[in-house]
Amino acid sequence: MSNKENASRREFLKQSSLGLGAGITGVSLPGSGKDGLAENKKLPREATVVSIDLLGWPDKTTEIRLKRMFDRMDDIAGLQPDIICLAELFDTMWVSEQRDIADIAEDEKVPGPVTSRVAEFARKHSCYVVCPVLTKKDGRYYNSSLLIDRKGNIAGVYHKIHPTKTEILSDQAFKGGGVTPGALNQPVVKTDFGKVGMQICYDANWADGWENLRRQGAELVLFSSAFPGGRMLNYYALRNNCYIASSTGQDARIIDISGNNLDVSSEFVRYAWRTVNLEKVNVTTWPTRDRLPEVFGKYKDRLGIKVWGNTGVITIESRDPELKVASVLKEFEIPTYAELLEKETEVQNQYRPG
Amino acid sequence: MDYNIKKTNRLPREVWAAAISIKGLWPVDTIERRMKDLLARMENVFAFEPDVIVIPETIQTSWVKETKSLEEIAEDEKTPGPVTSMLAEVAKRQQCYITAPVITKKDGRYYNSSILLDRKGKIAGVFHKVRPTATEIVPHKYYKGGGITPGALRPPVFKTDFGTVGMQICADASWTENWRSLKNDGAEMVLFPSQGPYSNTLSDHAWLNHYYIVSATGEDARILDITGDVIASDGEFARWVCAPLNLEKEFLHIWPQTLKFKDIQKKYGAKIRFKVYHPENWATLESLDPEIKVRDILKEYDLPTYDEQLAESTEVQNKHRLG
Repeated sequence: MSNKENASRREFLKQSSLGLGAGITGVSLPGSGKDGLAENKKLPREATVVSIDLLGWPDKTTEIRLKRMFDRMDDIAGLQPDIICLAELFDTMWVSEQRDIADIAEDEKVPGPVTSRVAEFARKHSCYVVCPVLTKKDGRYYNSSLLIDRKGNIAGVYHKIHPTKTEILSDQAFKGGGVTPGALNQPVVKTDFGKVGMQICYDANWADGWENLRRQGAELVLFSSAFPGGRMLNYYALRNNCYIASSTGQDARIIDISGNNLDVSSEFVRYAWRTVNLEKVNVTTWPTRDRLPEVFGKYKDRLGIKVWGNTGVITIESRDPELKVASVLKEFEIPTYAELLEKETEVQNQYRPG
Repeated sequence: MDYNIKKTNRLPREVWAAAISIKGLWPVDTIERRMKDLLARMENVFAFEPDVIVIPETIQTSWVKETKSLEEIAEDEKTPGPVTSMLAEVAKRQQCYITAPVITKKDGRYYNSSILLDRKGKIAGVFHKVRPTATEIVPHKYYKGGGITPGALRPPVFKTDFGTVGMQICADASWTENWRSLKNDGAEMVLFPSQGPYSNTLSDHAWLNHYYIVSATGEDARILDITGDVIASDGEFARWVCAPLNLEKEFLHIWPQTLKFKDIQKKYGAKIRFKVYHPENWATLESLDPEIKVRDILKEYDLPTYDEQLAESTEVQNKHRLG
């Protein structure tokens, strides 16, 4: 779905909702199905992000695995997600039946058997889905994440940059072949709600892939993994100024740009979700703190301001469709977190001898 | 009290680190008062016989009301000035290393520094804050009479009798290169005098570089493990911390090493300690026996450290990556 079409869908839902009467406007009904209430409440740059974990493995067959995953996806469909992230190799990881890599690797242009089913879900629910499967391209195999768009088309492909040694070396992890490491400078994908990037599992041990995504302006990184990543992901979110949706073999999380967890899956609910606002920035406690009273005074609840304890980070988001955070920062001469560091570095370099 | 009785039954690489917060002690009117308050608070940790004590940034000026020019307060980096001398006395008496975070003057320039005093009260090394704030640097914006010069991008490390230490100060926490440089030069522990606490950020530097961090700030005092975990933290009723750190400890990736952990534990029993960090897939292995070196165990079981594993993985990845 194009930006325009998606906007139209949102507009239609808004009108439908208003038609229901003012009496229920503002009532929060997550999972309210197709009545459009959840969507109606969204700001222009908000996106509902869902990540689903894989816990409950091992599974005997891929078919059993897929059923388990599609059941979870169906569970959250009522949230009207804009994007769903699934775990690394969600169709084959910790599945007992052993199949040759040539049998399971899917095409990167024409959806294969697993991707087709995910694409069908994406189309039906008009959402993006990160579909992590083994792929084959030009005779090589990759540990990949295919980004399926709202129409069920493949909108982007990411190849895991840092596979483990056992994945790479032929026959050590996959029967019949090894995985080729992905290129170091892979592109971000433009969706109708913002720029997204992908990372997979062992990638979390290197900063280069994350930094590459930051340089391209990624606002959300979808992390599909076997292992959870723990504090490493919280660090990457703050350092790279992006939300992270992580779907792993153990947990699912939505991480704020400030590096704090917004939602985590739990024992009896194996998914995490949050409507995240991309019209939001990180700023530093200093000098922002001194300017807050004036900012509060002028913009009141048109801004969402959160001081994250003693971390030195404050987030500012716009809660008003007409208000851009950048214009507020400019008005009050508040640099973003990244701008402040850049400016300070410049002064330091200017005065450092030698 | 006789402070010359040193601890017995210590492990060979066990270090007792202390940090003193000045929370509740500011603002104060004079430098004299600040030092009196600080020295009184420091006494709390003497009973632990610390090997090193860290105190907060620019101890003679942070939230001290009397304003003096930089010229008046800056201390020499070779011959201890008034504040450094006071702390050197303590270092000598307690036979421990102490950070003396003061403004220093060298070759006509001012630095926001941390002077490392050794167990005899002598200056063992000086660190210049690498990343002062712009307001500190630009003359007269923050300090009466001048500005601070940023320290070298490759900060020094210092060999002490317990290990290799580095230092960082306050805003240095917002950058990563200066911390990585210390790791590359072999730092096992970083001493962090600061005004601000930099809560999560410090933990990140610890796990990113696999060294201990001892932090003393205007808000808190903490000791962080090589994994970023908080080992000790001050609180309402004790604005200081002192705890043992074991430098005979290694940082590992658990996969596939974890398959051998059971055998190692069975052989070495209580002489070693594994701690597994499941979400991050990390582990630490430390020796609790004076005769056992962690490196020997890793060699015996053919286990790489985390850094060695990543280096090997990177090599294999680069070899198989196209283009």
